[in-house]
Amino acid sequence: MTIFDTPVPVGSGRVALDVGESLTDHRTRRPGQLEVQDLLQRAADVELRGYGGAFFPVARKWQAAIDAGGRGIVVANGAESEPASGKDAALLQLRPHLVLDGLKATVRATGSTEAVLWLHKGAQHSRVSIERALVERRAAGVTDVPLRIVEGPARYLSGESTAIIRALSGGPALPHTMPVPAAISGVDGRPTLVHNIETLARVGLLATGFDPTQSRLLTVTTSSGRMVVDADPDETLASLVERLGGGDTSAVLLGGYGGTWYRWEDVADQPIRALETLANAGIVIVLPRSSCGIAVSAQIVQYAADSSARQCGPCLFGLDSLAEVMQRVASGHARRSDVARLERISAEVAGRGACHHPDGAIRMLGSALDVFADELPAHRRSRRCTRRHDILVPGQEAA
Amino acid sequence: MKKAALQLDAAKCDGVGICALVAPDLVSLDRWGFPVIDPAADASLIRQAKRAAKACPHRAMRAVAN
Repeated sequence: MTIFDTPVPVGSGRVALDVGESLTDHRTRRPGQLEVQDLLQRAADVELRGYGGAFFPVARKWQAAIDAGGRGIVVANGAESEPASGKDAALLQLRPHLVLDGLKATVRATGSTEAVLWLHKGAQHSRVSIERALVERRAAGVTDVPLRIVEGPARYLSGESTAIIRALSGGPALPHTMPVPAAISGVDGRPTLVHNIETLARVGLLATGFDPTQSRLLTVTTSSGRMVVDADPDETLASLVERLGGGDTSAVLLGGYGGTWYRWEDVADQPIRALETLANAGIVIVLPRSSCGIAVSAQIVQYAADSSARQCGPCLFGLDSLAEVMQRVASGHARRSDVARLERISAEVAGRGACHHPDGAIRMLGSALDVFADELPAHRRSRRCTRRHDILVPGQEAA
Repeated sequence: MKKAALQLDAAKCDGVGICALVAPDLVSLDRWGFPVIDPAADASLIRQAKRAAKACPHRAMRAVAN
């Protein structure tokens, strides 16, 4: 029982095979009927966690909303902002009924009264797939809580949970400081559960009598393209990457643009299980040996700087400064003092934003300076980096 | 651990910098002019903290009395 039987090719928010599963096929496939009795306890028993990146225990989040009086809002967060992630779009477009089952079960198990699907503006394929699925369900007599589909601005931080709460409360879709967890007091002061799409899909599996923690959705980017796979936790990273057409590899970025670079030889033979939390929202970016990790990292820092919500000074100015220095380094004009300069600026920015956006960029950059340390001298004036610099990181191909 | 006497809402702060003037023992400014609160500062600086919170035109700071 897997979510996807074969790897799903994805790109630019669009799944290549855009044929969503019908309600009939979904019902044949799922292990049993949807049953929400004791669902919170079952979620606690299998230690189900959120798959948006924070791995917060689902049962604890639900309990907080229930203790706060229930009658709250469940938000299915489909604003998949990480450019190298495709799992949520794949789920919404190929397994819409599994996601809707999970949403329904979450609403019931927590005594919530409202459900929202939050998407990026222009996420047409996901929207159409869910709308079509809702029509099908209604026709089949399935009783769902009415689902409101809301679109936020198509930018990186629209998927950040405090930005969603602010937008649904009538404000701008920007991150903000929340003194109390949203599960207790979120949209208009009501208990609000913001769940990642994969989390809801796994709740859907759990509610039909299946242990949902036996696999893990990963979005793997190699030189052959980008694939969403429902990975067996016992498979090694090397085997997975080889299966997906990744060639000669020097390093891997686990956890997306706010993640951590690792030397390939340090992680290749590890099972997915051991790397699970490192991959954060399940994002694996494989760097071909022929490509320059410094150049890729410079592009990612630039992307992070451009994606700042421009609210907090240290993030706005700090990420810009880091991007500028990295640009200089990548273009072969590195100064001997640049590593120290990058480290100094990073230390000044760390932990000072209202959200964790700048912290992710700094984490990625710090690991790049470590993993690609040997390549830095080749970026000084007199030397030449011979690796490819013309690679575009996802998110920059379509501005 | 003692709690800092002053809390900042970074999203509200525009780097006006008046906090560093009225609470010099508690707040310094970074290279871009945004406040850095001394993490070691405790409740003994509550008067400066209150002055900084009151002076902020964006109400981005809160004095914590404990």
